Amino acid sequence: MFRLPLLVLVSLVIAFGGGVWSASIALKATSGFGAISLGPWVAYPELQTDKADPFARAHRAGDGKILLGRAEGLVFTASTDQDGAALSGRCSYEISGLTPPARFWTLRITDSDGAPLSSPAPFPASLTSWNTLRDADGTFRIALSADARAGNWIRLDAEDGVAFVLTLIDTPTAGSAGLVELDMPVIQQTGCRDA
Amino acid sequence: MRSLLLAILIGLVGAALIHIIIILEMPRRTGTDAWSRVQSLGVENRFFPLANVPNDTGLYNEDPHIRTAVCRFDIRERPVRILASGDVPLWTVVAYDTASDETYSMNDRSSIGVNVDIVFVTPSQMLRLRRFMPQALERAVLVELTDPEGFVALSAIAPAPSQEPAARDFVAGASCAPFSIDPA
Repeated sequence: MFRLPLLVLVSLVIAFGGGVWSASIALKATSGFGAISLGPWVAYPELQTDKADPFARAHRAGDGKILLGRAEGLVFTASTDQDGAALSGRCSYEISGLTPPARFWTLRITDSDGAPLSSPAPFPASLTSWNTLRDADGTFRIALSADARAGNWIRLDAEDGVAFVLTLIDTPTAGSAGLVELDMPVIQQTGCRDA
Repeated sequence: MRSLLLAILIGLVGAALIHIIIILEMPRRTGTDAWSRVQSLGVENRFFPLANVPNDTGLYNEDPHIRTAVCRFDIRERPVRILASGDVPLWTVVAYDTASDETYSMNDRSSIGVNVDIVFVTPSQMLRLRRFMPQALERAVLVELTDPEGFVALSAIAPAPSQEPAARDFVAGASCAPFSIDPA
């Protein structure tokens, strides 16, 4: 006589348990579709629009950031180097090459959750297109390391994983579909401290 | 046995439905989305410059070289006019609706003149403006929004530390006041 209530209970447990579990797994596993990746750099050009997919919208609502609009720019994030190894705050890197055309860009470091990493007062934690030194052909080389280097240098000294964030302001790439043709700077690891 | 399989099958279908409902409903229920955070900053029609370090509001300038201020507006009664001026190398404006979807964005290259002068109007207010354009709005950019509520974020860049005060004053001194379109 308890057969039917038991079967209903089984259905409900599977429905609610499975639904909640699969939704949380799906939100952890994906950061949304519509990403464009250029080497290690990843950007979401439509994240702030109503064209963003439901997974991206859920993430966006959870993060609650003021995102850059289409006429404002595009944010590229790298969490691996050119060879696919995760970026570590214990290693030093060199970012070299060119950025896509933009009126202004900044390069900064965040932790693996996206919170900005700051440096103690005299040390540079970020560079911009205004204060980056370039070679004669317009390319640049930026060293990211714990100890100071000559030329372009950003201080990188953290215990855990890090991410590099390249923000392009007023760039035609934000609205173009031909983004895959673009040059992005190359991230090479140049050495690691002992753990 | 067959009825148990049926119960499991019904459960799986229900799980799929609940999965979809959670994903679709989540953006409205987190309470930490950009619109909710802007709402909790304070009153309408006022630019709030964001702090430079993480804080309780959840909103801050993540990029050390970009300074942003946000203003919440409701244009059901009257249009809102965004005005800002100052000596910054580059500024950008973006408007979002209550779902935090971008509705409009522009930067200094696409504006008339060097200052920010944008009026957000509803479609019916736009019709009235077409019949009678106040002289004050001749150089303003008129933007029609379908969602009468939303917020606007004004950003200015500060490539060097010496340009920080100018960028901060630019976004902090911006006005976001309602504008009366009736001929006085």
